[in-house]
Amino acid sequence: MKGDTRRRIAIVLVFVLVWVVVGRAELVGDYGKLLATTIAFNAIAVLSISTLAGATGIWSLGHTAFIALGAYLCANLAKMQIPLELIVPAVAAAAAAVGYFLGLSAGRFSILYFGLLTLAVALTSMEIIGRMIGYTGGDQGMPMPPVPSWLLQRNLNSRDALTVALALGAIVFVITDIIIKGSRGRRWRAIKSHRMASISMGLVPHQENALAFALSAAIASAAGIAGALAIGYLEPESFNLDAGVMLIVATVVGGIASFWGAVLGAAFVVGTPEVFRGLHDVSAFALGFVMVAVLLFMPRGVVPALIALLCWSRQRAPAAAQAKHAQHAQPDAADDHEQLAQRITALAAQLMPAAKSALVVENLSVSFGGLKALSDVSLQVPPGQTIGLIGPNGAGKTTLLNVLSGYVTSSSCKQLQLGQADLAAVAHYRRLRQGFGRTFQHAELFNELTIREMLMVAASVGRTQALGAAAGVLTPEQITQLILEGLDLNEVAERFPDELPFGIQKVADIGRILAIGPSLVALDEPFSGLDHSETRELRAILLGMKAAGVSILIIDHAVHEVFNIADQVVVLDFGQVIASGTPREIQRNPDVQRAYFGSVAHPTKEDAAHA
Amino acid sequence: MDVIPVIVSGIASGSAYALLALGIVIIFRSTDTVHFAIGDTGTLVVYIAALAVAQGAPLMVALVISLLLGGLIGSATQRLLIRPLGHRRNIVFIALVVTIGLGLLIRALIGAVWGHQATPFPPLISGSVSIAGVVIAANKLLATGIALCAMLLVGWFFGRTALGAAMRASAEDPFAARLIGLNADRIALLSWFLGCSLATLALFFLAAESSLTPTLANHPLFRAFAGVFLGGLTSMPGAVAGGFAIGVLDNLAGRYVSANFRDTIVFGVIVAILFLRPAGFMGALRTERV
Repeated sequence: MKGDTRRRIAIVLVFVLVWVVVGRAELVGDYGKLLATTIAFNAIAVLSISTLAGATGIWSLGHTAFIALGAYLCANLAKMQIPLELIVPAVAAAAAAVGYFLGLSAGRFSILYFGLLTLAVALTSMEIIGRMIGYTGGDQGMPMPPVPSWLLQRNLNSRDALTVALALGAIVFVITDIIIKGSRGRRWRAIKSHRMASISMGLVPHQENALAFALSAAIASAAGIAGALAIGYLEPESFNLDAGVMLIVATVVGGIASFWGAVLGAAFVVGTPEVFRGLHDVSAFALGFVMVAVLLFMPRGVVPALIALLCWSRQRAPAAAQAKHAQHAQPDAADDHEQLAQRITALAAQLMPAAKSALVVENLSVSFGGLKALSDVSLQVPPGQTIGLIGPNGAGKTTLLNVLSGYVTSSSCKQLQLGQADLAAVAHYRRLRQGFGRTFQHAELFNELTIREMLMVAASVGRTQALGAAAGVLTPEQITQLILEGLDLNEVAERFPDELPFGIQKVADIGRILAIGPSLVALDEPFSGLDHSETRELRAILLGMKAAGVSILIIDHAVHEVFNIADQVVVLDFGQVIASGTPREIQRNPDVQRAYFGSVAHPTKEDAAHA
Repeated sequence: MDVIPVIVSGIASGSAYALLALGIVIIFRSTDTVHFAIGDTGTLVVYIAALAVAQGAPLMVALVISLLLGGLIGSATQRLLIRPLGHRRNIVFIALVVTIGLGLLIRALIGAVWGHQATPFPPLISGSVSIAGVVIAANKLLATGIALCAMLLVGWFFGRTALGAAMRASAEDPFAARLIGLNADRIALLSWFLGCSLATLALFFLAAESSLTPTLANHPLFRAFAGVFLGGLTSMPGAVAGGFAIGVLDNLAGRYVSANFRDTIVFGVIVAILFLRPAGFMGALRTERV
């Protein structure tokens, strides 16, 4: 929190400093001023691209369309004597609306198609600018009319361009920083890092991507306003695809999602042609060459690479080593184990809601091409019961879980109900709203979120969806803190998942499900990859959930653990249910033994002999 | 009614888009890279071919050398720029941006060496033919014929040869392909060779149709992308059909709606179609794995 404020103040100070040195002190001539103004509005434009890339992973080639929208709207509103102070929010809102609409449309496609569609937006906008001569001057372009300012009580002239560009820059950079670092930015980073896991938390990727697109469109329109004032003449050339490519070059070179990166990138694409003045091809060659080289050797961009280099020797190395050792507090006495187990059980019981409805799967079949992964599978998870699902590799366990999660569509299914809701009819991101939650075999945490940030998103977004009004009085911060303490994750709260050992990642995945609080939890191999004490901890958590009345569907190879905790066990083999019953019954079932061990033993005979 | 001539000339221009689209899809299937410099690669090669022709080389020879050279540049691109990127997260977009940078480089190189003025490029055959009441340059007709032959050849290669089957398998599941002993690196090189070679073929005839400029590839490449959208990024027949469809759609829009809103109309139609089929008509949506 403190660091965030400090960074934002620093950003504003930089803009003020440039304004004083370049604009007021007359230390540089008009050429220097123009250069500074150009870099400033380009930096805003680069920020729009890099914000989108950082938040969603989408590289837009079409943001020149929004820059153009900002510039032409500004010109036309200024003609109507509307002051700049009103133009800026109006234009930003208009651009955001257009961006949201486009984003929502494109969000139905994969993010790659999304990126390619921005290309279409750029081309289309060029044609529209060319035709709407009354508002744009067509191919000839139009001079910028005088823009009135309400604060200055006069019309702005070209000398004010630097001030406007810097002021807009400061505002845009700070607002963007607040959004990206805030709860909305956390959601975007969650989706970007792991789309499926974010869906299982109830996040809706295409809506969130559209919002991010809207934000970046608004930023781009601000760049358009600043640029229009600086250049004083609008022509379509400035907004063509080459300009879009330049912004990509700047973003790549500077590095995404970074203030200094945007400024450096803008300075680079503005400065290079100035250095090679008159040698257009040489400058284009230099831009292309540096961009490819940066991508090959500094994939995160120059600024992040420099920062990493600076921090590496001081912080990163010891931090990583420390994290490796940051095991859970290892209780050595059996009493401590008991206490830990009780504490975790109580925590799980406190955070999880009791299930009221049953999960019913009836005659479910799934085939991939000609291969039948599941055929006619039926099972039930009555409210508050724990059902174990076991079976050899390839039996179809994970497929079944993926059908429940909505990642795989069944070929035929008589019934797939959770309470009143027909799960099959509900989109995957809405299944949490019906109370269905899941964990992942490989933890699947969000690489760009710290453990604390992940729990915060889960406790805010996920919990509201899973529980609605029943979410209770605890704030997301309180829930996060309870889980961090209860699961001994406090020490690793500020770390990113890939810095942590696998066992801790799995515990954090369980923490995520506690934060969300679904009434039915499907656990995909929760015990795999855990050490002895983590296994104990997980057992305590599962007992706690059971005590709270949560329905549990547990899929695992650790048959022993499943038998210990499950009320009923279902055995799958070759996509079919071969047995179901209480753990005791299953243990004695000859079909199950055959499925697991081949035809080795003849337990019935031996049993008979012993008896 | 003059709809037939419009369609005929649409198919003729569509053959170039289809070739480019096919190249894009072959490369994307093999390495998950959307190759934005595929057209610029072709343009560069045609400039070099023009040099050879000026030295007295027969056009047919120049064409064959061009196809080889285009393919080699493609393979070199994969080897030197794409493979070193490795398997990072979000690699699809990073590789895409690298090829954008390469396109910038190639255009700057052409501009520096040959300048920005349009230079004429000779057609393989001259004269014109009249089909269904529309007069088409014989060279354009030949281009369409050669393009069709090339597509059939590609279809035969992927459908009937062992190597083609291996390449398809590798595109479906690189990991499994490696497990059964297919050399993924070599397959990637071959795909890039094939893709860029097809693009060069398209550019070779496009240059004769108008003339050589550094940005010759821009316009057809966007059309080709439109075709790829339509057919799906992963389907070769889809890309070919999409390319031809865009050629026809473009001509229809230019003739009957407005010549000034060609891009807008073409992309408008595509977006509408994508709404119905988000993965394109023949492509498969890539599913993520847990």
